Amino acid sequence: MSTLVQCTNLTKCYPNGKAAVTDMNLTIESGHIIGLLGPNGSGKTTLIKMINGLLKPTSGTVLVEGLLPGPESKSIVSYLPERTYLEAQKTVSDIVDFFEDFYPDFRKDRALEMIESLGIPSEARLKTLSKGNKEKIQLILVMSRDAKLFILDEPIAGVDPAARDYIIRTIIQNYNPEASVLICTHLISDIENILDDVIFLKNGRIVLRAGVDDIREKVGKTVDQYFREVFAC
Amino acid sequence: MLKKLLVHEWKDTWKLMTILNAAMLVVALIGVMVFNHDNLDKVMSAEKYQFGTMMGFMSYMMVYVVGIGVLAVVSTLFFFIRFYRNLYTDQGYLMHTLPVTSNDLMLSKTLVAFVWKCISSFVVTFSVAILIASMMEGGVSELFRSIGEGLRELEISNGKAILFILVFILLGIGSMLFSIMKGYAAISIGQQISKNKVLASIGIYIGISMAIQLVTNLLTQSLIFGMGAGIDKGLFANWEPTENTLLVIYLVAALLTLAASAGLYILSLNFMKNKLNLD
Repeated sequence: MSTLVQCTNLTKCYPNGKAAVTDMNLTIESGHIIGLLGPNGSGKTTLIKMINGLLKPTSGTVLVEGLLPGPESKSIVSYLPERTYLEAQKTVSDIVDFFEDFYPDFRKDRALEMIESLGIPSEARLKTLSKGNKEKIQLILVMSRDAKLFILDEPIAGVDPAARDYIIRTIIQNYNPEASVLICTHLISDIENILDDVIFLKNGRIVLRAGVDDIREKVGKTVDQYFREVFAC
Repeated sequence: MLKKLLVHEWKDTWKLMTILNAAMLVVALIGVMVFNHDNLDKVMSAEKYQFGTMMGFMSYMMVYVVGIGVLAVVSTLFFFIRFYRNLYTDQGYLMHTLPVTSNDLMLSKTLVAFVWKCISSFVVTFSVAILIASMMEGGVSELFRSIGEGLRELEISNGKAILFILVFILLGIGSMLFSIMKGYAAISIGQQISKNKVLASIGIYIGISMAIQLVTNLLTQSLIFGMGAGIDKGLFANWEPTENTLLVIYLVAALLTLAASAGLYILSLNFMKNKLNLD
């Protein structure tokens, strides 16, 4: 196991003065599927953005395989944001070519095979696809890379249960045991069976870091039940 | 990676820009076919068609001039909107997580927009030239003869004419880059605002334009004032403006425009690199 992500005294304050992440120390090793869980405004997306180089920390550092976020670190991280980030005018095949061009670890054959299994023609424009299919295409693109770290922000939010199953299956099938997957979601019960570890965030701080089995054994509850208890309003 | 970004940027922009430029050429070609010298000569010599021909000619010229304006405005807006959508809306989550530098992103957008501005400028110049040449009795050769005559009247020597052309090309490059960077800088600064980013960008664009206008006016006024003061003191008693004076003024203007463009590029890059604020 090697260290993939190392956050040291990481803090992010927004211009309005609000601290989204406060003095966070976190290590993510390879070979784990980790759930990044917390209520709205707990700092999950801010942390993910800093790992991806989309935000600069106010203080502290974040290193991805020993590198500050930049082109080199981005080449080993495969990121699925909670938004549709693909150009609607483009065809599925355009987007696949785009990923192939920029990511040397992108497996085009794997992506096309999965897209074909969904029955989506590669010449279809993204704007003609349903929301669920767009999300599936994005996930397929992200999971078709042989990246070292996969960061999935709300991968199953806003899709029907059948699509959720498909997405979770895709994550498991494409998971490389030497890589790590960081999944940020509110729908804990849907994904807790595939998680190895969980990180609970509250007000920009880590309040719990534990193995899923440990929680079940020591607390006697599922992660979902325990989350509801910790974050009860 | 810059090469790949350039290729994809080109792929995403060539269709609309080709249609716009081709449309401009078609409008010019219609003018060449309908309002060429031979046709105009024939119609104008037959008195009864004179009024209709004049009206038709004026209407065409209006369409043609509006067409040039539309080409300039639509192409500029197209590149600004593309820059904003591609880098500062949801699509930014993909573009800014590609294994490329912020400079590669900025450079690819700037270079492709600049190349298209050059192509559009060439298309407009070419269309004006063929339109004017077609209306002249001697055609293209007459057009070149008239240009040469014009240069001689300005008392610009052959060697200097080339220098003037080079300085004007430099000024053109500077102006095109400046017009692109003004928009990109306004958008990059405007995305710092949490709400109404587009409105903020428009406001900043107007602000930058006004600031540049103010600086230009101040520089011009200072120059005129300085010259006036010098004349009063008899400093320029034996001095007469020559073609070199004009050349230097245009050269300074070109260099200032290029410097301002570089400044706006660095400013935009700094905001993109250090203050990215995707929703």
